[in-house]
Amino acid sequence: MLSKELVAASTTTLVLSILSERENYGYALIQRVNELSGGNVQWSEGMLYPVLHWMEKEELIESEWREAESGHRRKYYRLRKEGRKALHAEKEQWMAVHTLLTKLWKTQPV
Amino acid sequence: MNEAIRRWQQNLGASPAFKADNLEELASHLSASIQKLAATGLSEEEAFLIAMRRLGERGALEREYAKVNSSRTWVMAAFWVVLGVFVVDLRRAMESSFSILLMWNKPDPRQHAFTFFGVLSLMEYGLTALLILIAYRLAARREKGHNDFVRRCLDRPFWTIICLVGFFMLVRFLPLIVIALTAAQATAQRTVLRHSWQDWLPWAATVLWNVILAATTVVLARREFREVSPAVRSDRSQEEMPRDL
Repeated sequence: MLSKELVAASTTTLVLSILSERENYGYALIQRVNELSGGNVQWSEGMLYPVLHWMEKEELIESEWREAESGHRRKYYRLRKEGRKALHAEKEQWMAVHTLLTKLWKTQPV
Repeated sequence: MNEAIRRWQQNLGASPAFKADNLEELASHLSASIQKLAATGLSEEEAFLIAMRRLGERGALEREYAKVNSSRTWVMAAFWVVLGVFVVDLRRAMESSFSILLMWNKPDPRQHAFTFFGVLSLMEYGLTALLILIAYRLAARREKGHNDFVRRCLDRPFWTIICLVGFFMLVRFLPLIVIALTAAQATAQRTVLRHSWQDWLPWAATVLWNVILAATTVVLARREFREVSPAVRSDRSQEEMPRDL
């Protein structure tokens, strides 16, 4: 299980990455994370939404209410240009950490 | 089950940290989550409880939302203060108009002083109570998220401001209009025509003050209530949003 600090640090990056696949709504984002992480990354579900609104304020993403096939109203989010740039920058940083750790752990296996 | 979600939503809505839009989104999340849980064989009640639990503790949620919506709490406070000033002004205008109407053709106003002040204080309490009642009704209806009249007004800010100021001016100038229309010429001359341009300056200031008040009220109200109920634009948006981003 991921620590609280790491969850907090990675949320924006995860949201940006999932939204870069395609636009989506909050509940589906959580489902996607659960599915891909095999339950290792657990978001406190309600906390995702303030993050989404903050990202919207920062103009990383934008949102729109829409009626789903089932008739439920859902708020869809999608990446904006700034978000795409941010994702690019985040990717470089995470990859830098990843590469570094991989190199270290190769020479000194845990 | 929808009833339970709606109650929960209303309960949460008491906190200023949440916008109506936020609550709707959370409710939409809850119902999706409940549906999924219920599909695994849980009872509706169990599904509801687990979905709530997963959503997180209320206090924490409120804090996080308050952080994001912090500018809103400020806007909300400012809105109610400005609205309050506007309403108090309106009440005073009503009172002064009323007292002028009541007294203008009495030969000796002192004889009527007792009735006059009696009626005036009754009016003061009555109007205050009435205005509070109206504010309460509006707020209560707003919580339900549907107030077409207010929304329509906010969609046309310019006309709303004109109407507000117009109404205010009507209240203010009513005695002058009535007196000018019905009075014997001598009285009319005394009350209306004697005014030189300097006497009109306070009136001009009143108009200006009211325009500023009305505009501030409407602008703040737009910031505050604009997102209450976002319109559904399902068909058009499908075209606008390419699926493969």
